[in-house]
Amino acid sequence: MPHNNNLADAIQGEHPRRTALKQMAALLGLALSAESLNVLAASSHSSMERATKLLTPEQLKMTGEIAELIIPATDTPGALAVDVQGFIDHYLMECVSKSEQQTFIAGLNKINSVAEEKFSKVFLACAHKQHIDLLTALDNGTAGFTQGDQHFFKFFKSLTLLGYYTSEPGATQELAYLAIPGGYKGDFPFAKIGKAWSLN
Amino acid sequence: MDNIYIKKTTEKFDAIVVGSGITGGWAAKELTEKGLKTLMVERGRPVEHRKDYIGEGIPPWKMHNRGKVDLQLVEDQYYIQRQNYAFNDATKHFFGNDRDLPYSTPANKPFSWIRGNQLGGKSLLWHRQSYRWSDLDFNANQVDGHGVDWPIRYKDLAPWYSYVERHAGISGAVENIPVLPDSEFLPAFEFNNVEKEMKKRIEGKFPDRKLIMGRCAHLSVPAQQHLDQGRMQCQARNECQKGCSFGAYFSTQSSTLPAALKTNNLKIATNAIVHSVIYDKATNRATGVRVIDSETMETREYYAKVIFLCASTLGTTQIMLNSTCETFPNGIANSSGVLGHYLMDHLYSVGASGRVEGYENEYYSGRRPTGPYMPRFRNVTDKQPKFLRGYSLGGGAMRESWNNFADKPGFGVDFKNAIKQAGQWNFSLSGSGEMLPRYENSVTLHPTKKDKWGMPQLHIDCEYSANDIAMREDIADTAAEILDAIGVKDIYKHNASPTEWPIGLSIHEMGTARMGRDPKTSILNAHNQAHDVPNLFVTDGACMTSSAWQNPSLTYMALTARACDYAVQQLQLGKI
Repeated sequence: MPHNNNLADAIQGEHPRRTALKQMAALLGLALSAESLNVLAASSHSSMERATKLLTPEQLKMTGEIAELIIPATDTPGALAVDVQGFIDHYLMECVSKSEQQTFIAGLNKINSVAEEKFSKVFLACAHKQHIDLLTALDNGTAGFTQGDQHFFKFFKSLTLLGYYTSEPGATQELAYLAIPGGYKGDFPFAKIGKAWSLN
Repeated sequence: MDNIYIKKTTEKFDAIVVGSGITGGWAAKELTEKGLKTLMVERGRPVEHRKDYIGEGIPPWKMHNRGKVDLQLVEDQYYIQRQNYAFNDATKHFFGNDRDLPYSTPANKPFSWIRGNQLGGKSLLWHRQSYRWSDLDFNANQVDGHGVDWPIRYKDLAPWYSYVERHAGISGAVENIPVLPDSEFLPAFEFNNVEKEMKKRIEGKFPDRKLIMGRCAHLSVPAQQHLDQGRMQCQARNECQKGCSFGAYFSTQSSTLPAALKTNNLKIATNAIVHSVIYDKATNRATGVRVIDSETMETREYYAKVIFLCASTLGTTQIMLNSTCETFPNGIANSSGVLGHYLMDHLYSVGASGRVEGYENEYYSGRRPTGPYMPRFRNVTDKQPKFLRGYSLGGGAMRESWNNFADKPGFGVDFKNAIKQAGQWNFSLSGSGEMLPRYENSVTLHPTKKDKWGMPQLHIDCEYSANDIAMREDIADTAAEILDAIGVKDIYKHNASPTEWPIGLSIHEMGTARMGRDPKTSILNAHNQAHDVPNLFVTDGACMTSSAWQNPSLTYMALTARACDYAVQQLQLGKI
């Protein structure tokens, strides 16, 4: 983005509030200033390599692979495509305690050490079938994994689900996104929408 | 609009209202509408309806932590407020800053003081549940001897309940339940189909219990007067604490402030912390308030003929305790010595939940801002051996969503599909219990510690009585018993300890400047007027003589409107 392009800068850094305001304004029949109305943009996802925050590049990759195994691509994107791993890295840096950060890293290391024992490779070097094998054991807390590891995997899953289902594709494509429901309907068959709401 | 906000002034007002929340907004509306030149004094910053709802309407993927708050910020500045269910990245700016608003408690008696700190106060943050009291509640102290007798009864407040309900807009259904009188209602929100079935089973098995839709200050269907006020129908987003540009729930911003502003009799001073009430011994009147500018630290005074303290329960009492002079060495209007005492909250975070089998074809649309509610049935016609007074239960049925799946086994395509198909139905009931008034549950000014503005901070000393503990146990047992009786599976009972759920976290802290018949044992009379200082009124939660079991804000609104009416009459008669 050119530095001296004020509009581009405004869009890049614009508070998403403006977009929401425009939608609400239409509903309310309010007029917003031209300046406000101009500042609407699809968000521009950077395709540049991001520097990692808490995780090493290898840990980031491993996190992404595991997240993708939890929420794979189906007819909608999977975890990798929505950069769940980048979100988890950011979230671990900003929102969790030192102790939880350590638990996460230790959990990744444990997966690698069990992978080395079973398959003589680190996780990232394993085949897909071996990935399934490892995660199944981790999910159950068996075959080299403990109950503590199982607890770590629940933590990992919670981060994955948070990162995926609050992403735009997760919230709006995989699930049903309804920002302004218009009211509450208590007699509503599931078939009418066919998938779960993303906002609860 | 330009000269609404003031700083220094020589103007003498007819009335000063301290606080701009649920009761401050009502006092400002009532007093200005009755012709009084009124100054509303708010310790926090201005918040303009719509414009300043900076967290509203932002999709989660556009928030830098998807709605979670930076841990460093939480640990530095929101370590108490974070405990509140409504605290998140889109609402945090409406919560008080714990670093700047310190208080102390005894080591073994945690208390969580949840605060607003802006124009609108906690009226931006409240849960909007709105219920009337009945004489079962007003009689309670007299009947069992805990606390002092309320100086009013239901008949005194009933017309004022109606009055505030019509303006605020209360959604609910006529039920003719003696312990929970009906309000003036807008249509109730719907039950979902699972709740309808649960209601049938509960009422079939337990004839003394009704499951009604929770009554709430939402415009389910606005009346013409609400539309005229510029308010709109509730959109069922259930994100109220971010601020609502539809004005669909009652807040100062949506409802009372616009009415007050219309009169041209209102001025507002923000960033103005009231240090103390100024008292004149010769006339036996409160003459004004001393204020500290929260940004510049400058001090100034505002003067008026009548003073309403609506600064929130503990905010008001802190000001009163700090208003000392020769006549009132222990705080203004405190000849009785009970100022600061008889602090109460509601018993919360106790109940049961479980799984409802089947109903995979049922769902709902919208995020309902209220839920099913079971009015008190304990100690109504029965006499419980283990505890006095009683509680309501509230909850409802919901399907599990994506954020419930982390604890479930599995991963991969099947797991993703299970999330997409929505999870199992759960049904829960949690209590809201009455806490007995006790002298020992009290707040005092800390002897040495002050906040950054030089105000002595509060020391809050509060714990459960044996009655509170016994009631909590009954809430958990009874909720579980009901769920079991109606076929709910995998029932999980919970009863949070005071460490897990400190007193205060229910955000219904009340008492400490109670109403009563006798000036020797109470601060306020039947009109919320200080016994000792006739032009000083207190109408926020501090005035409460007992806590009952209902969400209190509607009662605060009614008391405020009634007290304003009385105060203006007294002024006109030259009595104050």
